[in-house]
Amino acid sequence: MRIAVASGKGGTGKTLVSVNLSAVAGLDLADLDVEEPNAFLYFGDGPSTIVPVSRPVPSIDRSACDLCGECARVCAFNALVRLPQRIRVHEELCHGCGACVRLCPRQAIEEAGHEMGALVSMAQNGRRLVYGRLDVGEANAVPLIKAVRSSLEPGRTTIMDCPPGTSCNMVEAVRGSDYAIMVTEPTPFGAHDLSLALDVLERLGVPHGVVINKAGMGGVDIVAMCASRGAAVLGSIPFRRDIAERHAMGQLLIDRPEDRRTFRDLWGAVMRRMRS
Amino acid sequence: MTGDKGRVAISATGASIEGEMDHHFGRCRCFAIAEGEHMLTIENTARDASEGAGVKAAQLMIDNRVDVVITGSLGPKASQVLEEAGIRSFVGISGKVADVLERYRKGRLEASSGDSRDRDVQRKDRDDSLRTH
Repeated sequence: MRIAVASGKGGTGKTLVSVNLSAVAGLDLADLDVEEPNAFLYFGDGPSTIVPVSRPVPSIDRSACDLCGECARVCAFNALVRLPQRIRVHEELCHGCGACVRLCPRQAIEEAGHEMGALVSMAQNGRRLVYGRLDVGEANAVPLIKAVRSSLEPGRTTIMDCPPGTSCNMVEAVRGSDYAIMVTEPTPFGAHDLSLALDVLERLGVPHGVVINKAGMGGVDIVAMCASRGAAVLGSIPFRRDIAERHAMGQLLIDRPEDRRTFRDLWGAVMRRMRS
Repeated sequence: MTGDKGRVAISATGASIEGEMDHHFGRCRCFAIAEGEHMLTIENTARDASEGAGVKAAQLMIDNRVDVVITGSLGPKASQVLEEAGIRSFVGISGKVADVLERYRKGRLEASSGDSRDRDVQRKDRDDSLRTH
């Protein structure tokens, strides 16, 4: 079972909810925000396994290539150029769609691997953490997000800390999840981007509910907004300085009884929603 | 090179030779291509590409057997493709297409390295590639 934690707006508290919820419920944790993974900071130290992840790029057999230029013509991302003497590949523009490989009349192209990052995993107290780490300069995170997702064990429930926004990275992270917990804040910015993210979830058909973080600031009525959109409110986390301070120090909030109760209640609400 | 200093492509805002140049290489409206007495305008089919417009425009230059490109700005990938294809480029140029062509043919355009980005950025890119390879 996969439970996504997403938001729309960045900085609303996706990681805060992910790390505390997975810890209080004893669940596995995955960080799919591969451009800046940070959930591991709350997981504790331990030995980790690092596996390199590659994405497919074209490799051209120059002895078979007759420079017809069909590959450059079919590439939707302009990653291939037919120079007078050879085909040039811009691996950074390649999306790995495989069109050139399949449509080369001479079958002179095969897929080679371009290393784009790593899959890091570790285990502690029966819980597993896995996250992707994208290499600097890589523009397209989607293949690495897919790699992290497919490394999750199907028989176990995993809380997935997802990327912000509503672009390809977020879509790829939440796609196919059993449930999505949307974390927002009661500000105009938080409400606006939450609305966009809810559009995405509705299109993807992922059942979802909303957590209001920093409740008490901002003044936007998220409860009314959720009611008008038919989205369930799962719970709220108060806007308190000590919460921000402890989270910023890398501490889990559930170490304090009253905050532990907040996340226990939140997990209860998620389970009830998933069953109904 | 044949004709009057080869086959020259100038990024342009319209089909008229009296019109202004377009600053962008990859996303200009069209290219004025001149060779000797002959002049034609081709539409820049790369301009709407979501990614790699510069590279696609460079392919257009190769396919049209251009010898020289004159434009305002040129990115690193397109610049590299032109260089590898043996196409000379002049960047940071502006003005009316006809005037620019005239200036080029009289040898009054200053040759440049291609990539038109800030020199510090280029230096940093070079340092980065030295570190990683």
